[in-house]
Amino acid sequence: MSTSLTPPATDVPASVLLVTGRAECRARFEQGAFQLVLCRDGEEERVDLGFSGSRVLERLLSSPGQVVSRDELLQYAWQDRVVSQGSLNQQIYTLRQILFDSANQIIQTLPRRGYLFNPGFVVDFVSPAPTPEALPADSPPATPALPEPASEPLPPADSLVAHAARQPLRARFGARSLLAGSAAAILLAATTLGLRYWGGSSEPFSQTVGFGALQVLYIEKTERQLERLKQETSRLVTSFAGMTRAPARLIVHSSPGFYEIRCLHDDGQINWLKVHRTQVNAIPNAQLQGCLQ
Amino acid sequence: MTGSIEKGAAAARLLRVMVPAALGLWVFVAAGTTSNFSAHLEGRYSSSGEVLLSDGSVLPVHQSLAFHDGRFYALTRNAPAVVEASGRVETDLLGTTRLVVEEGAISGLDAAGQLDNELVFNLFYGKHKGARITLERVGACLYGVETQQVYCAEDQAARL
Repeated sequence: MSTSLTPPATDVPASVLLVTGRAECRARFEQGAFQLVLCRDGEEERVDLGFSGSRVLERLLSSPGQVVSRDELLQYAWQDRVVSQGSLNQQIYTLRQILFDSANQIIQTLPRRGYLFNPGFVVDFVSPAPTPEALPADSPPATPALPEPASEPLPPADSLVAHAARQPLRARFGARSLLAGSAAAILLAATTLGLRYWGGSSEPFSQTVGFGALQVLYIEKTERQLERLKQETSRLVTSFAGMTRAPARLIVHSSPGFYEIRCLHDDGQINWLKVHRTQVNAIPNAQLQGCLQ
Repeated sequence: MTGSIEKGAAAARLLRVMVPAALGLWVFVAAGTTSNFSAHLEGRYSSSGEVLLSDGSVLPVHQSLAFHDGRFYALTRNAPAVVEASGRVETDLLGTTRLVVEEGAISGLDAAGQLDNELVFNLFYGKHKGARITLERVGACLYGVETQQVYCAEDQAARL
């Protein structure tokens, strides 16, 4: 078999540090050499995986925690060769044996879906990997000191799948939250604008009425109060209208207990006449004239 | 898997529309909040004249209201009673502008025994800390809803 025909694995570094099923034993997968180097008590033991076994492990390690289907593993490890499912079973069995994976916790089987490599057993990815030639069999291990694996208990396969999917799930959840937030913001803004323009306004009622040269702006809180104001001040306003031939402007409104008249002048001056309701028809003409002048 | 990818793409497209739409709407709301007349409440509003009380007596009255930097300063004189008040101008999300009284003082009330009760009530209302007076524009003037007072800017009186 020629490795030149082998498509290079792009996702897996040349060397991967692993934990095995035995606490005292670590492993380093060297894909270029198709070997697993087991490190036990400072001693190294190299185990040949063969091309297919190495490719199976390589593919599983390219996406730890993610399920790889049997078909994909067969295609990746044996490429165009026609092999039985049993060949894959055999390679998986061998890898489990080498990794002391008697409980199938390192390479996990997902029934009818495939296999996954438990990411809890991956310590680190190292690059570049030492070539097999540069690693004399009796030399001290060239690997960096293996860090301690996570001491947490290993989760079952289903939760590992969930772990692998957590990142996109988080992204989806974030997008959903953002969508919901945007929808709520749009709804709130639309409601605010609706209330501002079509409801909830305490805008007073006003009406401008002409009495000859006199323009009167009536202001009241409600339409009914406006009509009442016009009626109750009609005599007063008529008196004002009879006193001026030149254009004049008044603002008439009520405040608690009083009617208020403001005479507006072109020079900006405002004369204010505030009359108790009981006195509205008894205002001396001098005061009316004083307001207009 | 494909369905999930399609859903994700649809959500992303929706986000690209909804987030700017939400931001745009709120910019519009904020613009409406800050660009209505409350932002232009500057200057002085004043009126002077006379008040004819229920007993037929006549007293001088004066009202001044000045706005500056989002605050107001008011003086109302129903001789001899004088009320001073100051506070901030608030505009809520609905665009309603209110005067919020923060400080107020009344003087000369002892000598104003003949003042009508309604007049005294209005004087007190405008003095109390926390009192709110909603302002609505009517023509060139402002109308204080709670106190039923009208404030016209001197330079805008001709624009009735």
